[in-house]
Amino acid sequence: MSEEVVKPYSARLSLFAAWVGLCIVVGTYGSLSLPIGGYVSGFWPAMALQAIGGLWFGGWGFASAFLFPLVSDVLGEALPFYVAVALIPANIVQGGLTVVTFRALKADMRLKSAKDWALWLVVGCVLSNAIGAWLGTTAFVLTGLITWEAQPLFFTGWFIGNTWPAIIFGSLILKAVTPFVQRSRLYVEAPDWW
Amino acid sequence: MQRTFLSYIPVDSIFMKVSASTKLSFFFLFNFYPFFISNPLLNFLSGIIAFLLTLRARVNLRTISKYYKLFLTLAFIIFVSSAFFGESLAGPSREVIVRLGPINVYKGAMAFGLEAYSRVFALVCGMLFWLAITTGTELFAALEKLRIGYNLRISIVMIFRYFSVFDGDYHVIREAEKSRALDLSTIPIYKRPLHFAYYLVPLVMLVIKRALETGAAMESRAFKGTKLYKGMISKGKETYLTKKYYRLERVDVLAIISMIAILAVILVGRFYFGWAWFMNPFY
Amino acid sequence: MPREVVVEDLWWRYAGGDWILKGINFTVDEGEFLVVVGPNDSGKTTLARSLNGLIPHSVRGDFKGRVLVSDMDTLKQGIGGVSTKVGMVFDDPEAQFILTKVEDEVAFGPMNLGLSPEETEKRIMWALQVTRLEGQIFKEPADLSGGQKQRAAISATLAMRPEILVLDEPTSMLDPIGKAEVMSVLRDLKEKQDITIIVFEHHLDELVEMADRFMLLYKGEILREDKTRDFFSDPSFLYEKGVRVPEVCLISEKLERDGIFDKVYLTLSQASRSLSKHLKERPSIAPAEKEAREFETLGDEIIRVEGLHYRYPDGTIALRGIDLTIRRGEFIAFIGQNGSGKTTLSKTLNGLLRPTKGRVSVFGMDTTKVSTVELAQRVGYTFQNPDHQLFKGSVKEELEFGLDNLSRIGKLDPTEKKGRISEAMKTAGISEGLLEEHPYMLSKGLRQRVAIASIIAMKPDVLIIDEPTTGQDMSQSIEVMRFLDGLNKLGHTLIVVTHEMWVVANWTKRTVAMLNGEILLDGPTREVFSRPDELMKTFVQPPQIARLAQDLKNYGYPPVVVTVDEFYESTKELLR
Repeated sequence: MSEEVVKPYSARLSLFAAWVGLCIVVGTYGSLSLPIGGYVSGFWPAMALQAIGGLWFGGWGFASAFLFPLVSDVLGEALPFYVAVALIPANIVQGGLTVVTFRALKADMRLKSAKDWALWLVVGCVLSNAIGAWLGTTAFVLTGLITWEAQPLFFTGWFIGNTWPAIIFGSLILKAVTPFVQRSRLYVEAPDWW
Repeated sequence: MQRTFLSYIPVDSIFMKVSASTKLSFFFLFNFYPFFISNPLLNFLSGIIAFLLTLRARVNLRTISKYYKLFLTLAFIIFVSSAFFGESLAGPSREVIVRLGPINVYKGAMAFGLEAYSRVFALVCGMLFWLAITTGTELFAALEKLRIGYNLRISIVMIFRYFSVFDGDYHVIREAEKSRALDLSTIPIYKRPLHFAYYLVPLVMLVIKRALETGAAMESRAFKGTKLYKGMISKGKETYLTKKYYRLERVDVLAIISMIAILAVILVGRFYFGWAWFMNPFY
Repeated sequence: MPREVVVEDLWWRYAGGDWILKGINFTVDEGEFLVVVGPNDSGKTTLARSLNGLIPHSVRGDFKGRVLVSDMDTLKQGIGGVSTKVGMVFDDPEAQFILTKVEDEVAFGPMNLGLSPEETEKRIMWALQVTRLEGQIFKEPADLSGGQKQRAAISATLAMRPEILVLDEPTSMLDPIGKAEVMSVLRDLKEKQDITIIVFEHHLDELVEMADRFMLLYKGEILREDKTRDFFSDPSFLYEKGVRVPEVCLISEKLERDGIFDKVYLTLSQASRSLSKHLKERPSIAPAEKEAREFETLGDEIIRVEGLHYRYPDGTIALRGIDLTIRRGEFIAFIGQNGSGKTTLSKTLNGLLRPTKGRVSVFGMDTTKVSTVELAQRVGYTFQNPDHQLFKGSVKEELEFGLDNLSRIGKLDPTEKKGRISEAMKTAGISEGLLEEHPYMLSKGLRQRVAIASIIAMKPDVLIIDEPTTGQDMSQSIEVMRFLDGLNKLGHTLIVVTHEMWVVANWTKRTVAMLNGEILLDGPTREVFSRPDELMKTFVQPPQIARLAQDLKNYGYPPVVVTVDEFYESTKELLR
């Protein structure tokens, strides 16, 4: 007799916390700091995890995508809390746009076809980071950290610093780990979000 | 000794006698008031006071050493931004401090840079102090008093638990890479990104395995998981941890009221009366 | 006695898989202490999780039959309800520590049950007192040893006041002290608390003295179930089925067959008392010359450690003046409790850690003047947890990983790659059919083998393996050690860091025992084990059979007996 299985919410809550913890570690140690500055790193692999978390874990991954910078910035980067809050829209886009697009267009996150790759590269790597970078640097201006004239420079640094790790890291992780994740109870398959 | 986010402090320390709500109020105060103070001197002063309090809480200087680099990098960003991209901040006088080739460095822009930097300095110092005197349990209790739901509170505390676990895993994985002849420090910087990501594979695997095991352990202890957005507001009775570790004495109420008053004075003084000593004197 | 647990015709398979449990039937009486043994993949963990409702409620699969715990049907009751009757302790002390402090951890269960703060506090104090953790109440996990973390997990479970306590391999990831701590708690629970205990375990030396009954699970079925004494009446049968039978039982069986013993003894003291009646007091036989001869045939010196000190960035002094020489072809064990410095020492040998003071030279190279990449080619290192060292999406890519890194820096001709991989696979017993498998889909034993093979493919002269048998059952452990022994016979120098003394006794030739960052003992394995009083300082005990021989040293047993076969031969000699 096959029993109706209760959704593994406890494991997924644990995963949510673990994913945030992972992103903090990656954000703290896993960056290559090119000399653009402490807030806008030249190479920020944690962004790849923001997008991937949403793809694999639905709402849990998406929620961690904008919660983790709040905690990470406080603990690791020591970004002021109100600035971290102002960055939420940017992180929502970076964490959410990819999963929404993949689900809407029924793409395979294992990146099997040209369509999957195109979506991942165009939306997951380029577009979400372009929008995220614009929203984020605007937040920096509005919170008085940088000037409007400096925004293009910081936008460029943010965009490049997020996009190429997403291309390199994100693609590697999706190819290497997705098959394993999809067999796990933690995987949240469309159309579910939770 | 009690372990806080950054330190160990004696159980009978004055910092442990302060209510979790007071500490959280301090956190919010320090994260907002510098935004409204333009005078760099005031912000630097409050930041130094917070830093001295952090040292008083016996934080090991090695623990906060990574923040020193951050202060320097921050200075670099803000002052470069102000120096090279500060024309819009030049002000009516357009006074030039120095010319760097074709670029004019305006006094107004540098004054803005000093103001921005002093804000962040105060904010970071305030945050360090809060991290130095707050325990995970106190955060749990303070969030309960803010009516944050039980499951969300548990997950927030778990984040700190997981951070320390994966911190350890990260270092072991980096050693394992070296054992397979991959030492990033020996690779030219322009080639590093291509090899940088491998550590993520075992780390992500460990995350998944641990989350499954921890989830099983939680369920075995009668934890009822729900969708994240359900139960974000606390409705239940006071929990053991909050009852034991949360206190609100008269002095705490006074402290919280004082902090609210300080913020009110700053806002009124700054925006209604336009008090000069909240303004930036360097323009 | 009322029945606390009733399992009736239990069948279980995970979704898309084969049946793991096949018609399990057994009962456990109130207050009974049952131990379930069996090789890995016999279904022990699955059965354990069936007892607290994790199966079938949290896992997709097919469930048939019935499990009743204190008259509660686990199928009809949710996990939350069952958890009030059945407490579960898992094998990984790290993964089941949920919050950031011992007190919070123990409070977690009662808070989930909605108990009042007063009742929660009472339960916390009681649970910590039972597990002797009152002094650690404010400690966080990083400050606790493995044994303390596992005791905290037991406390956290006890705080829910279950009637039944289920422990799934609670000591598999612990050092000897940790194991002893957990066993001590179990002993106290049995003697002083009114609780039914079911332990799924491989390490049985202490459990034979505590348990009322044993059960053998093999390929999803119960092969044998009996009172402790009767269960071990046929140790060879159990051994063949992959059970780590106490050495005292194995030697008792041999002596019973020869008519010397009238039964199989379970404990060292029983066997010692019985055997002493058959023997006369006499001076001990001279130790074997065998190892001295083996030392003479060893090769040239390849690693020299002089005055080595190491201090971690947080100020911890891990090594204090180590002097050590390693020769080509040696098979060495580093032993000692956690924190003794054995892992730190092994990491200085391949450059992962650089000396704070002193010198380490590997094949004549000063490790402070050479990169870890260069050293990685001469000294390979595998970590305790294979999950820390698998970086790719297939076994093939994993085996290629190290070789690709060497090719990139010009240390390996790319044309050699295929041959090396082939050789490494053959040596490690990895079949071609596994090449496209995802490493993380493999069993732990196979993942370990893949990790070792990927290092072997780099052809290091020296191989350091950290805890090669952790989490492995008897057969798997023997397989791994035979494979390593094979490597040693092919000329590799091997260093194993281990807590398993039977592994050290049966395979390694030289043992280095460490204590507080210093070398306490260094010599032929037999010689080291013949000094139990000094070894005790490291909280390491010689294998059970060695202790039996030492107990009987006044009857002529040589001090250097470390295996069952050696003891048997010595006994025959003494009885002649």
